[in-house]
Amino acid sequence: MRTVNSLIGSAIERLEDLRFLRGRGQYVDDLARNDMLHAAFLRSSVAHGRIRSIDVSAARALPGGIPDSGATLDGWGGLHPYGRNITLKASAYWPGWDIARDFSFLPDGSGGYVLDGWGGVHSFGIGGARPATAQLTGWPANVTPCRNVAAPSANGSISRSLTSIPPSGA
Amino acid sequence: MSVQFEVNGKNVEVEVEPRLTLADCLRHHLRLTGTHVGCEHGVCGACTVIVDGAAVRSCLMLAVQAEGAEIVTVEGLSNDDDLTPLQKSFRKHHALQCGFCTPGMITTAHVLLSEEPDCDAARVREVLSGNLCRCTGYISIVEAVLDARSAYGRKDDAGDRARERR
Repeated sequence: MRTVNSLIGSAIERLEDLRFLRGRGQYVDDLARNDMLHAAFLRSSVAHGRIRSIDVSAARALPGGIPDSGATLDGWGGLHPYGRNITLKASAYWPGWDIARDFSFLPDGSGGYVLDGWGGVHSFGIGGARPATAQLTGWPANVTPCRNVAAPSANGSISRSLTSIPPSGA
Repeated sequence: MSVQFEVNGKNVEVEVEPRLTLADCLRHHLRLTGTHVGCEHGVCGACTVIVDGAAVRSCLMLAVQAEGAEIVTVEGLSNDDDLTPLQKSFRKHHALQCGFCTPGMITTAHVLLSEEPDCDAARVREVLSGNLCRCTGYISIVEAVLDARSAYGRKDDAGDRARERR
């Protein structure tokens, strides 16, 4: 048999084995960083339950805890505000029941955008009308769905991560 | 509550809630993250540690139950200088890929080989049936454990290798 090179037919020892075998792998759950904020996923204990409110006071009481106000995003795209001065009046759900990936707030606090799991961007309003983004919703032709959604700038223009999706009418 | 035990030869005293599992105590309180938590209900074996000489699932044991016990984790079966014979055998036989199940495999195999250095392939398979591996398909793990027997004082080196390799 002709020898092509020394690697073929040789046992190659893997470098990562040295740490895996000694319990020194650094899996995500093994990491510890200063000021690290942990996330935990609470699974629903009931079917078709509706989240009426989320009490985050215990989390906020922890040293270095979470911000004073904000919103949590559930696995079905529902936005649940907590903290002061946020009343979310828009429906937490939209047709199709897409799974949300990300959301952002408009800088003036009037609402924001939710990105669904298939790249659709959906607007929501806080305490009033929804911001106009109908032309951004859905799947534009020949465009890869975006992976996250960035807050629009103060003058109302949509930031770069969204401009990569042309309006569906264009 | 306060609990005292020995981990890898060192005495430790930890302040824990009674509900805390030994696995979480080792990982979070003592930062011994070599012990992995996979299923958290005693099925996968990734969290296996050695408690007073026995292979134990640390996710099914409370930290407070370890009072006075001698515990050895995968870190305690390792040293800085070199891999142990068991670890070398795992590396040689490609008995790991992602490495997540490996600490449980090492602790379980260490207890087995310490007690039964003459075990055969069927016995290795029986004992390792409590440890799940999604990468290797187990054949390489069984071979690695069998190959490491000599380091644990196996008497019958002539053995029936042909049957074991089947």
